[in-house]
Amino acid sequence: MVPWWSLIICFVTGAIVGIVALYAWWYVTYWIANKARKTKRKETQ
Amino acid sequence: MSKVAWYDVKGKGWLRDVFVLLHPPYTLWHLSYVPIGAALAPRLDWGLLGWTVLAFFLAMGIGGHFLDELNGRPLRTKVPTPVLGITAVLSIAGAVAIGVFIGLEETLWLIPCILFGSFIVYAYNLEWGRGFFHHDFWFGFAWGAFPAITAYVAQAHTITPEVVMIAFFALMYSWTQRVLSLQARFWRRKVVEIQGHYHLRGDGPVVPGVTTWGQRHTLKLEHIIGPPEFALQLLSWAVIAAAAGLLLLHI
Repeated sequence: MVPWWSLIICFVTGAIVGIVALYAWWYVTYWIANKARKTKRKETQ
Repeated sequence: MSKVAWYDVKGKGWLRDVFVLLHPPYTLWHLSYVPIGAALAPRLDWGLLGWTVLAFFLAMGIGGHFLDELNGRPLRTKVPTPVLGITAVLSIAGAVAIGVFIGLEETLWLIPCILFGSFIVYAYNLEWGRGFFHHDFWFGFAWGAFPAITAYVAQAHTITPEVVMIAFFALMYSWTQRVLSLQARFWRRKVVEIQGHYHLRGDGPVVPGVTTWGQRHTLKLEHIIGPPEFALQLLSWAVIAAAAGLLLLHI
């Protein structure tokens, strides 16, 4: 019999991993976009 | 605002946004693979089936679709970004918790399924790896074959040739959906104007409803998106009916 609190542990762990994954995705996306913008600005100068 | 999908509803506000975000026909479509897979097991545990459906609804129906909207706003909803992100993360975490609980109770073979599912829901929708996972095959596998296999493993604790064949059917069926949907979606969401005409051959057989042979006809958007969208509606009902029929075998 699996204890009921294991559900909460799994939920919290899943949520933390999810937030980290989402933040990493947002960071990488922002970083790529920012780099592209800087390169474009340099080219136009 | 024009409709973003054939199941989009008129009106504005959060109710419309949430409705269209959940993609009701497609969510039902992909959830149907769960009972299809589960019904192949020699003995069907209805409670377990309910938990499996709930887990897939949370991860795919809510989590996946909310992440998809977060990534570029294809549905043009006004749901705030933090709401989309937090709802998606909590829904997927809920699905993981249910999955691990069932895995520890029933079979540890579910654990690899949970690991794959929780990875692919982010990787597909957020287009990780420069869009490597945002591909027809991964769509068919993740939202077709995978729910069928997972539901079967939860019930029967093993994999058999029968479920592999059904998983292949689910993969192909979902792939078909994506091909039709991409076509319709492109014309519906990306194209702002369409101009053109077509001429009918004058020597062909008479088609009901067409009496103007040889004349010039204006090309309309409905001519392009009508057939694939109607096919999608028919396919939705077909897979739901298949799931219901297989479940009836266990009553």
